[in-house]
This record gives sequence, structure tokens and C-alpha cells, in this order.
Amino acid sequence: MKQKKGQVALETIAGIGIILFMFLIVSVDSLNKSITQETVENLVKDGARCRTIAENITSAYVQGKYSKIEISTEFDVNILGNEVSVGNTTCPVLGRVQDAVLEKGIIVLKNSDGIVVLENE
Amino acid sequence: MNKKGQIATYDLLFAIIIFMGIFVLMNSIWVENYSNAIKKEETKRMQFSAKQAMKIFVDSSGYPADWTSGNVEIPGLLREYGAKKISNEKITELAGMDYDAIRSLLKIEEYDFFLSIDALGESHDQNIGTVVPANSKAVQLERVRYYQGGAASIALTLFK
Repeated sequence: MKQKKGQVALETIAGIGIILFMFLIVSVDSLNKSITQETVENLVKDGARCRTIAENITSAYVQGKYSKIEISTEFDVNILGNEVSVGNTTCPVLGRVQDAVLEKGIIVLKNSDGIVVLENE
Repeated sequence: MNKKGQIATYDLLFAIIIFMGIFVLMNSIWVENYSNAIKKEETKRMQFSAKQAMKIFVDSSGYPADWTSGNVEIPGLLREYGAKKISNEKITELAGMDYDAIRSLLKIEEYDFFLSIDALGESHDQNIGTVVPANSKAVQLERVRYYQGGAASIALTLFK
């Protein structure tokens, strides 16, 4: 077939198609990766926060009656059934602790007669 | 025969192969970083569990204060609060307990543990738990406390 002006070669169309397809693959892949990375970052961040709270509770418990620890947090904390919950992460507490729902800010941990009680200041 | 078109096709094929190579390489680097981050987090969780368990063992007298294997809620080994002396009775009670029951009390069900008490006199040495396999991922903590008239080394190993 004689090539006329204004006609595009089949190779060019195929090339553009392949480039667009590859661009689509890269876009979907990078979106997936950024979602996964954010999930892992939150898991690591909340895990560290959760462990810090749990360690302080255990410390207040082992230090015995009338011990008091003050901590400052930038996140909400829930304590339910000997488990600390921060964001989507939970971690266990050893020792006796009272259930609590705490807002970010200063949290006071008191060992009251062998049971750790947490309150917002 | 159209040679121009052929050259363009070879160029495109070459570019795709290079692109795929770079894409696969970048992907494998990302997967490697991702699995390293997860492994690091798992190690931190393991260290946390070991620290918590060790703290309860050697820094608390447990609950109830004079616990036995039948009523224990927190298996602290100190004779009483504040004292740094390990109770022989509590060690004996702990040694007589079911392995899984101890793991459950310490909330370390996902790990195995080995607690060794290396006392001044060999006759007072105690080992509780499972022997650590050679190729396992393990975290070990060691503390010194007063036990049976002398200093004793208490080592707790958590492994998976």
C-alpha cells in the first residue's frame, strides 16, 4: 500500500499503545506500594507508641504501691482487658491495670493498691 | 520492504527490555526493604515481650503475693515487693506449672521460652521451658538477683 501524507505507521501506534500501557502499570504499582508503605509506617509508629505505654504500665506495677509515672502523648490511648490500643495496634500489658479511655496530652499512671490506674491530667 | 519501520520496532523492543529490567530491579529492592521493615518490627515486638516477662519475673512478687501454681495470675518471683531476693518456693511452683499456662500468663503464646537460673550452688540451678534450637530467632535477657544465699544469674530467652 502506498503511504499517504497524514497516515501514521502501525509501529508508531503500537509504540504509543505500549508506552501508555507501561505507564498504567507503573502508576497502579506505585499507588499500591504507597498504600502498603503507609500501612507499614503506621504499624511501626503505633507499635512503638503502644509498647511505650505498656512498658510504663508494667513499670508502675512492679514499682509497687503509690508509685506514679507521668507521660506525655500526642495520641489517644485505650486500655481494655489488659491490652493497650493505639491506632490500629494493640499490645499486651503484664501487671494489673484498670480499663481506661485516654485522650492525648499528659497521662498519669498511679499504682493504687497494686492496680495501675491511668488518668488524663 | 520498509526498513524504517523495522528499525523503530527494534528500538522499541530494546527500550521495553531495559524498562522491564529496571522495573523488576526497583520492585525487588522495594520488596526487600518492605520485608526488612516487617522483620525489624517483629524483632522489636519480641524484645518488648521478653522485657515485659523479665520485668514481671525479677522485679515483682506476682499476684497474689503468695501465689501458687493453682491460683497464680502474675508469676513474679520476688519474695516481696522491693526485695531483690528471689523466692525459692515460687521458683519451685513455676517449675511445676504447665509450659503453655506460663506462656499464657506472660502473654507470649506466639513464642517459646527458656528460663535459666544459674545460682551460686549448682544444686539450686533451675531450668524452665524448652531448650533453644540452634537456628531459631531468639532474644535473650539476663539479670542478677539474690537467690539462695548468693547472686544468681537469671536468663530468659524468647525464641521462635
